[in-house]
Amino acid sequence: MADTPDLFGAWRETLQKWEKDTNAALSSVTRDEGVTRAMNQSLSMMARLQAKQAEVMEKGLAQANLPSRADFRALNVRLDGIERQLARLSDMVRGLARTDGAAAAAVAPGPAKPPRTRKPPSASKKPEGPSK
Amino acid sequence: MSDVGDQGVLEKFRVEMERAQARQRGGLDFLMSAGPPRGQTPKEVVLSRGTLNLYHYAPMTDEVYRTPILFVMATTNRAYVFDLAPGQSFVEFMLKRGYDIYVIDWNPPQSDESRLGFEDYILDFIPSCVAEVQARSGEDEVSVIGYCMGGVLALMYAALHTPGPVRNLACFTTPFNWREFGLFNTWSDQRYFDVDTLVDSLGNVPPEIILASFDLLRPASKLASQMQLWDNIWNDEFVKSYRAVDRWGNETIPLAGQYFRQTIKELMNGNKLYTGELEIGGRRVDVGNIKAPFLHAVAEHDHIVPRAASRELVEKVGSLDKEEVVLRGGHVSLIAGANAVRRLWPKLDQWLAERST
Repeated sequence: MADTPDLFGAWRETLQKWEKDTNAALSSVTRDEGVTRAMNQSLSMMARLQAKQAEVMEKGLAQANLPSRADFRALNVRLDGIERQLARLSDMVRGLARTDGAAAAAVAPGPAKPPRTRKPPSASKKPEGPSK
Repeated sequence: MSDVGDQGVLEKFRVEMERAQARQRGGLDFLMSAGPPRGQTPKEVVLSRGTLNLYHYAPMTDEVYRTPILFVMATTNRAYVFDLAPGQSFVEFMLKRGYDIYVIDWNPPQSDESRLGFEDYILDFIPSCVAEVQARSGEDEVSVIGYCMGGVLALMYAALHTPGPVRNLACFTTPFNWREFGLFNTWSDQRYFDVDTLVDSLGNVPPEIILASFDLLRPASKLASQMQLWDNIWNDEFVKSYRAVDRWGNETIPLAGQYFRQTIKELMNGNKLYTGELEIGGRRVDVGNIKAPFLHAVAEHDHIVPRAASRELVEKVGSLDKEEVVLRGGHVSLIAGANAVRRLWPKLDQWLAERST
């Protein structure tokens, strides 16, 4: 059968080539020492500014008698702590239930665990043993 | 042109017109619908402590292999990449092949966790998870599998716990020679990159910085992938897979400050994992100490971890039973999506099955 032109194939190929070429060109720019230095300087400046801004905001919120982000974070930490304690307690309860067979059935009737006896498919294909 | 050729052109034109109509419908659906559900495979949170989450997935077979598996997720992203959607789930695949699966997922570290460092991850978090897996499964041995930076953590853990509970160790796209990290190495050159100022000012490293650095590796690819999406928006399967992976890729999480500082200074600038000079908790991390069967799966077109950065790992690991496989795909498509279903997942199953009884 004669070859037929692919109407959108050429566009797809162009897109792939554009992506490859643009990535290569921009990578060579960001590989440059001067660009790396400039990128990192602006990153450091941004970090310092952000830290300063947070400090100023915190002071402003304190003056307005409003909770700051740090206060919410502290609350979050305390809630995390409470959740952790609860998780530990529920683990302990489950552990106790596991050690007491009768109680286990009543308190935590979890799903039956499958036996850990599975063999790889290759094991079933092996011959039973060498003939003597 | 021949009649046959004319018919071929007309047929292609007809197909493209149909796709154009489907694109309009698909585009509307894409804009109007919520993101696909993720992490649907039934699981239970069995350990949760700050940034650390340990999931246990409900077995899907009548009998399972003796040795349980512990997946260690990379610290930059959420672990649902292992469980994107039914039919596209690595975890579901392995469950159906008869494995007992546990996954470490990292929550975004909070400000009070900015002091977490390698010592916490290697000497506390992973050992706690291994102990939990041992207690729940009743087995002493565990197969540990790490993806990307999760692979680095798994390596460090295995190197420091030998002889120990690691029955098998598998790493995916795991960097080892950090001098060969390409652009990341250039950008974090200690002459220009002041990691201390960054961490001291911000505490944890925000996800925007991490995401921007990933995007900067291939600046044109985001736009190109969106155009590719438009081109394929008539294809429901493509769209489903694209959305799941794209959403995951954009959901980068912050990195604990001290952990980031150590990654840059010890691994990137010092290359100490490679040279064997890295110390954690006063003990030297030597991957030559690892004796468990070892598999390293790397992607042929990995733009994040260049081949040169991962190549020497298998040679340096001390195991006698060790293997490296280079599979087609990229950093993410190696473990998730249609490519992974055909290549990595069956390979891992085949490798582990014989070593999990």
